[in-house]
Amino acid sequence: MIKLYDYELSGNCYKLRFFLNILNIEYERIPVDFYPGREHKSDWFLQINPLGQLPVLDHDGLVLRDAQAILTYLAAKFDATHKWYPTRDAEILGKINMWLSFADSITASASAARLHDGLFYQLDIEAARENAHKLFRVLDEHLWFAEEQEQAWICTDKHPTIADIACFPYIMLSEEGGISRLAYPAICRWTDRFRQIPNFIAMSGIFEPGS
Amino acid sequence: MTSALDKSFRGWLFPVVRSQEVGLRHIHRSQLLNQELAIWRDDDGQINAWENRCPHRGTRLSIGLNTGVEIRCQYHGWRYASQSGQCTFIPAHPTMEPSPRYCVNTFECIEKYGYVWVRLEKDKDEDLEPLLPLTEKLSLTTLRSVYTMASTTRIRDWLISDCELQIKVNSPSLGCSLTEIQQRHSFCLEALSINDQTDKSVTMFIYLHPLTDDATVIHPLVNASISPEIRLDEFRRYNRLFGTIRDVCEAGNALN
Amino acid sequence: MGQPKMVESSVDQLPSRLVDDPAWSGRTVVDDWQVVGSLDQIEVGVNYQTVLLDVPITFNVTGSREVRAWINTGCGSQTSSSASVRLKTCVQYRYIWVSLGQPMQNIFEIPEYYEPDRRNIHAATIRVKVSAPRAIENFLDLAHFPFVHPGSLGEEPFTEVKDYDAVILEESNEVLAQKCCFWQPNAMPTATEGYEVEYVYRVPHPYCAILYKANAIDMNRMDIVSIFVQPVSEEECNANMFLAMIDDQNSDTVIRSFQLQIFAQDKPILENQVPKRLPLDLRAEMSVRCDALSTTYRRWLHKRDVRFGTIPQ
Repeated sequence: MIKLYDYELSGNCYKLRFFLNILNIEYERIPVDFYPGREHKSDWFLQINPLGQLPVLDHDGLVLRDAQAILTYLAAKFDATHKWYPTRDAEILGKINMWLSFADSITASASAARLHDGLFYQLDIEAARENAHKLFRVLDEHLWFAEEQEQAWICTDKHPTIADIACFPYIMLSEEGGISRLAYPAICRWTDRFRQIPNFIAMSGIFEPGS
Repeated sequence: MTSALDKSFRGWLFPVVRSQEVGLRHIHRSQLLNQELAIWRDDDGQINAWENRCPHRGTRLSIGLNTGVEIRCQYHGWRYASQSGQCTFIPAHPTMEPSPRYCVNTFECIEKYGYVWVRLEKDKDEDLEPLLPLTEKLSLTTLRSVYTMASTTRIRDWLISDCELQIKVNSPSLGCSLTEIQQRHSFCLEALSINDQTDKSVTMFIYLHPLTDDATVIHPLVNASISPEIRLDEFRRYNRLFGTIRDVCEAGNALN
Repeated sequence: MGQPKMVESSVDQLPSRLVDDPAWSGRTVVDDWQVVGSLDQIEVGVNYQTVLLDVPITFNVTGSREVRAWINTGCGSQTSSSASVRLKTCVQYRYIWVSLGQPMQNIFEIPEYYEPDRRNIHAATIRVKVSAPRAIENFLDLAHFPFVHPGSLGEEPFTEVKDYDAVILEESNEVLAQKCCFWQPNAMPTATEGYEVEYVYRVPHPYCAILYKANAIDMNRMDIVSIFVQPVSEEECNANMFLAMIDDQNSDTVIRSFQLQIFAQDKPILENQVPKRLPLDLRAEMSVRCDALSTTYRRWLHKRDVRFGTIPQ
């Protein structure tokens, strides 16, 4: 049985809730009171993840932290289509991992800004927003040229990969951190496409695409 | 030179987005002269440019849903018909015919030269024609629009006075340069773009679309059809050029 | 932490905009108690900075649960030897309340708070980039449930809002709405199936609202969900979510999580409303029958001359 240490408002946790739903895998959600309880820094949770971060996945004793790492594990282990993380295609794998790192930078900037604006986290908010805008500019240009080549996703033509999952949530929630996406129309079109993925599920702050 | 956001410009027709970027079931969010806009296309291809605000409780329509025939507001699900902006359905009272008073504020818009053009106010009874009507002999290719955190005035002034020299001197790696940059009117410039390798030149139009006092979209287009084999390379080249223009104009802000 | 020299609060210390405002004659908002934080999120002995009605203030809580609050007259957070303006404070429902003026009455009563089996839970404090009255009005709204909270508080096609009563109670000076019914697939953590829920809404304070809904297990008792909103600036607020539930099954974390999920679904709607301040002119925005509570709330704010966070008529 897969256990997911999870927090409702965490975009990183949502990446896994989303992918587990796509893969149609049952799992047990263990809520951790990230805010206001700061439970992710409690003794019992630090035993599970000494970095004190969410999400954590426990699959029958295999304990993994880091949303991007967990996405690769789930894809390699359970994706029968081999499309979300094609382990046999070195070129695509390289690209996906490049953008998984990019997603980490999005967490460090856009997600941080969101924590500051909504949950009173103390940090350099101007730097966080500025960094997010730099990243969004890079991605918007990348996606614009992708569209010109009939490529719908960050790394691939027709089927999304875990790179798209990894980048999506904190981009979609960016306005909660004071980062407008008005200047990134290619990103906006990509988020529309993402929400049309079959079996898409939302999280609080992201709307279902509607019937 | 009057400020870019002088009220009289509200009667002008501005290019706001490339037509091909307003796809089906999408809502393109934009601004024009500080007015928030929701631009969308219905399934028959008809274009709409609406105030980005639901008249019920002021919710931005751009976070709502384009159903192909209406916009559905995300807050209470009110539906507004394409073209008229009329409310057609209020889910809280499903059997009630919504009053004609319940209507989104709509703006005139047309599609031409590969762009959606919007006018905020009617200027007497003029027909809708884009600023600087271009003759039909043109073969236009729209390039990537570049969002720039600088006022329209700054960008225009810099393009006219400093651009040619600075681009030539500072950015030899761009692969192209601009020359003979001249203003056709307050929001449109014409220039010659020269390919450094082939020495070929092509006429270029640069439209400036004021989002707000401090932000502009640069919409460049070339008077040439670009063959498929070189299309991507050409787009990249022009994107580098206008990215550099954007960077210079934004850096100029830091000096103030 | 040194003690600043304290003087009683006076009109001279407050921003002139608040003083010059004609509403000052009633001093509705300034004299009233305003929430500034939850004891659950406060460490004893630590100075907390916040902004209330555009006024930067500092407060702390001592080991004996005594609250001290003062207006920052020096620069920033350091206490200085110059006089600071001391503010009236109290603790109620485990929240810290401050007044910039002279409170004439106590904080509104929630008798259910004192029931022995009542779970009184502070869910969280969330900052929202919208005015306090917009946040309250969203809390009072039913028609958005199927679109903003699908699967829990509402579901298409069950979108109809039946008529209900919304009144201003003159004696207590509160707004009350009763017989608000809506079909909900998953109304609360104790619910096991969908059912038609009846709500009572009560607005005892311009920036506080309470809803009462029948408990899923014991229909004779009401669960309470409330929002106490701190008006930070005219276009920004801190929403405190307070729950008083009858629930012997779910942990605090689960109950909090449910409430947080709901509020976090409302947040992007609130932050995408234009204008951010609430228009009190009923012609500024279009209303239909189901908006009776919203229009009553706006009329009540106008009657009480609440100007902070609103666009007056």
